[in-house]
Amino acid sequence: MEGRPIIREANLEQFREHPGFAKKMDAEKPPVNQSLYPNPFDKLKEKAHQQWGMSVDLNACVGCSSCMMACQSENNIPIVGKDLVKRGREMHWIRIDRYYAGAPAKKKFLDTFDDESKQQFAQWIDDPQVVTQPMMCQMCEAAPCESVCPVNATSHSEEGLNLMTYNRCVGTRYCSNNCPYKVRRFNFLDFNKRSLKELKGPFYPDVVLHKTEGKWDILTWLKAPFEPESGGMRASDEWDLIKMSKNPDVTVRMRGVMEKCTFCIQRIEGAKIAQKAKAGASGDVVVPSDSFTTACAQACPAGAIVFGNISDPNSRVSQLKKQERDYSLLDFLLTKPRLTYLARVRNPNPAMPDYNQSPLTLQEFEKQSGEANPFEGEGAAHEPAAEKGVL
Amino acid sequence: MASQVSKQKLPVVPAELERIPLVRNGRSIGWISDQICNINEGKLPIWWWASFIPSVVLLGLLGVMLGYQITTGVGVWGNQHPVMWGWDIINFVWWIGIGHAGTLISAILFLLRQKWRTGVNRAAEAMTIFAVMCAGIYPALHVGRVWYDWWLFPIPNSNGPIWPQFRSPLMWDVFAVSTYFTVSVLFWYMGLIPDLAVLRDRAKTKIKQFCYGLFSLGWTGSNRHWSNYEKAYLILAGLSTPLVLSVHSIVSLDFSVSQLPGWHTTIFPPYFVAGAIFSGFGMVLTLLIPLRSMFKLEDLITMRHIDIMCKVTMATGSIVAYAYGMEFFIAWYGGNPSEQFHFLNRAFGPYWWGWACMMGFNTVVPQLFWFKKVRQNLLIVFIISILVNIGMWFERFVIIVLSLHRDFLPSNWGYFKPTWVDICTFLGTFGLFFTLFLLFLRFLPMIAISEVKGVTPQADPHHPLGGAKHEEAEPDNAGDLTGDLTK
Amino acid sequence: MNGTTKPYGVLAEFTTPADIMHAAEKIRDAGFSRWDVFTPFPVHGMDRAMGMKNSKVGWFSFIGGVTGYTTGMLMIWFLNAVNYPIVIGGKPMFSPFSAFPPSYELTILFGAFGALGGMLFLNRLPRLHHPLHKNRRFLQVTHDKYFLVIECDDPKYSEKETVKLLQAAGSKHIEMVEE
Repeated sequence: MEGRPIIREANLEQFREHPGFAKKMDAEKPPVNQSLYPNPFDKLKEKAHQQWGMSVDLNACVGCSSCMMACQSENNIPIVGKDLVKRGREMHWIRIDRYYAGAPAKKKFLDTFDDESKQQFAQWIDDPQVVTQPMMCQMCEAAPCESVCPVNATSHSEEGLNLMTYNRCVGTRYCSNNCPYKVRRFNFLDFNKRSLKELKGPFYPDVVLHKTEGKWDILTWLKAPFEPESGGMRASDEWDLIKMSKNPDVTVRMRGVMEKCTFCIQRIEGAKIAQKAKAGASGDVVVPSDSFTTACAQACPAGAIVFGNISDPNSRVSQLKKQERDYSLLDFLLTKPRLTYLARVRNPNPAMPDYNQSPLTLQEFEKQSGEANPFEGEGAAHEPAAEKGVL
Repeated sequence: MASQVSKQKLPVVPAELERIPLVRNGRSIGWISDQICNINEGKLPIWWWASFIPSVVLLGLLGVMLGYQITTGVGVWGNQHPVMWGWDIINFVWWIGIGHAGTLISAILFLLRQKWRTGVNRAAEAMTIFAVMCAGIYPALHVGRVWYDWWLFPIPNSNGPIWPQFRSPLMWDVFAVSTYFTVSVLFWYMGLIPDLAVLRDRAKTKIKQFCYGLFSLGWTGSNRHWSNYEKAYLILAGLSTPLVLSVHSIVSLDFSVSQLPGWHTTIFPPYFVAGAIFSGFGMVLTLLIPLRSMFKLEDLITMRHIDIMCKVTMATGSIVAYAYGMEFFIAWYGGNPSEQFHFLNRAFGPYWWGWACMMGFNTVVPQLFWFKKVRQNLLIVFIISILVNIGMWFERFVIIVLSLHRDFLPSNWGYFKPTWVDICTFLGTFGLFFTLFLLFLRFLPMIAISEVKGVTPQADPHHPLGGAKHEEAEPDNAGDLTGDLTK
Repeated sequence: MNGTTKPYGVLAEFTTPADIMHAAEKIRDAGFSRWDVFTPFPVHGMDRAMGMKNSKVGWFSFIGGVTGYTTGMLMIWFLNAVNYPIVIGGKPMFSPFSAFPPSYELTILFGAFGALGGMLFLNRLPRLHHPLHKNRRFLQVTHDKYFLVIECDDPKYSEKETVKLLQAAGSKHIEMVEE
């Protein structure tokens, strides 16, 4: 992680001594100035009955990727094929980030800048520790993606969600550039209309030379560029089968449109509608806390992902966010994310040969970040700024 | 009174202090018309066809590539997560930057009373317009759904109506680039009106007479008309100056307003504007050095013109070099770890070669222009002007791709590679540019005829060559005019 | 002379800018009002020599610029803050700073249209048919000759006196131009 406090972890003794270590690893934030203008979101919030938030417990996450599978099925996420995944076009709204921490003492200055493909052969990364982190849209209250969209395709709802309006998106991709978490996915090609063979077709710099199973790609494509199966659109019965697998509650996005995690807004709206129907004339439209959840939270076998109403202090997610291990990612950018993480606590067996007194990511953080050691002294150099809206 | 003045000996100006003439060899006013119009009226040289046909082929290639991209998707380019903007935006900024030199020459140098601009301003303005056209292709067509581009304009629709979001720098771009294109065309056209009248009055065929006559709007050269014309020209120059400064600043704000390390810096607006002028002058030199000898215009685009343009190139190149140094200094001094990492990544990361090209061609190479021998060697100047443009392309590459490919979360880091579609689209834009430029050379006067005439000593009523008698001659105006621009 | 075509004016040709400027001064002092000077490029000092006032193009441009700026600001304010306000990243609904770039560009755009449009309007261009275009010698005006034309409609015009005045001013070639 290049010494950045992205995943914060500590060994059990360290945690016991300094339970608030996670927040102390915050980078120095710019001062929160008084704005000349009222924040329109503050006024908008008053209209809503609940505010959505999520907490991800890094301690529980084992990196099984069930959340990815659930999200993919729930939200009609297209499959792009191995070649395009290698070219960075995968469409997963939630992904499991894996960081490998090697011994910082062995790492030299230039190792930091190595091309990723070379890192697997580097000496300093031998015997790494792995940390996993589910990453999906952080639902920032001060979302950097919203202010750069030229067509109002992404906006903020009164319940605190960052909304993505597919039918308005023109596809300038500025929102993805501005997202510091890079959770936005762009439909570069007709993933939902073209077969995988077509997607692998003449789109590469080595198109002239690329071969599949011994046959030149370009010849295959030239033989029938617009035919289904070999080049063009999917065969119609294949399309029918695919259509049956889609979730009818969720839009299927066309090419050229940006998409991202929505906190399963179809489930949220479904719950709100059901509650309104149940409430009838009584006006009790607040969805009971923890009565429904997102697909990723539902699928997680370890219960690492918890979704809920943060304006209800008794909901599970509110309780989790009150913990001392709670921190938000890239807090220094003042994005005020609704999704926060709970720092990881390791409990390694001192008798094991790979025992480290301090997790390797923490060692790297202390060595590379130049920030104050979170375990030294009580009043650490940085006080977490009390921001409105982040619980 | 008059006899007293006529007996006074007029001071003799020593040869070294004589102003270098803007039109060499004391050419007459009529010669200027003849020499420039000869390009339009004479037979087309072979080299014109030898350049035009490949340009049209490349233009066709552009059409095919853009058609492929629009029908298949942005995925045919190399863009990926996280590098969502690749060659498309690099080329956009590169082409727009090139355009800025034309407006600087036309407008800013006019306000600064630099008379030498008259030899180069017409071709430079044409270069601007065609470069902006090439640039404009990219923001319009790099989007995922090109058929909805009209949503970027405040046009009523049936969805609410929903409007554009004006806080976004891309919206500012829409206004800036459209305004820049329109005002450049207006300014260029206005300058062309008297020159089209020249061609109209010399036209030998009915078609030429009709076309030039139509577009010269019946210009007669009336002084009442010239008076309004001069005022309008001054106003357009005065408007174009803040325009050229603002357009590239707004383009740079596309990056500054974002949060990415390497982008989120306030130095971008002046740095980009200086860089734009730098690359633009490079392109002007690249175009005019061969043209002046092929069309025998050495007396109108003199070595003095080339000399001054080299110096401007070097000056703006030095500003760019300063900006590089300042960026780096602030990254270190500011202590922002992401920013510091980014700058080290530029030098040591997987794209270090792009950064090396940028540094070498932008900071080191233009400094050669300190030496007069270098400025006078046209081959070296030509090569340096091309290297400058290559360096500036790499600068945009470094700014865009390097900030995107490694930003805050290392899990998002990627490696961008262009595809053949990227490369062919870029080559195609050269086809568009050169096709239009070659057509311009053929059908329109490539030097501002009336303006050049106006700066010759023969045009000065207070100069002996302009007919002034001894009593009124003011020799320190030799080659210059009393220049009462604001009357 | 053909009786059906009315004479438009008298055309006097000059060969240097100094000559025509002195001639213009004489004509101005003689009190003519419907006359003009034609040159291949603007001759400096000619406006004063002709007794002309400052050009009014600036007003057109100014009005254009002011219109542009207010249009920009009002449009952005109305569209983003009043007509369809959407919460975007907690940013204010209308801010003069973020609205400034588009308004500034519109100022320049409308100002440029004002300048060019004003110039064409004040010059009464396009005027594709002009009696002077039919004169063969007048074609030289875009090349290297200077002309002074006094229209016959001018109250001070007299067939013999005006020609004598022009000859005294230094013109070597004087002719009548038909309408």
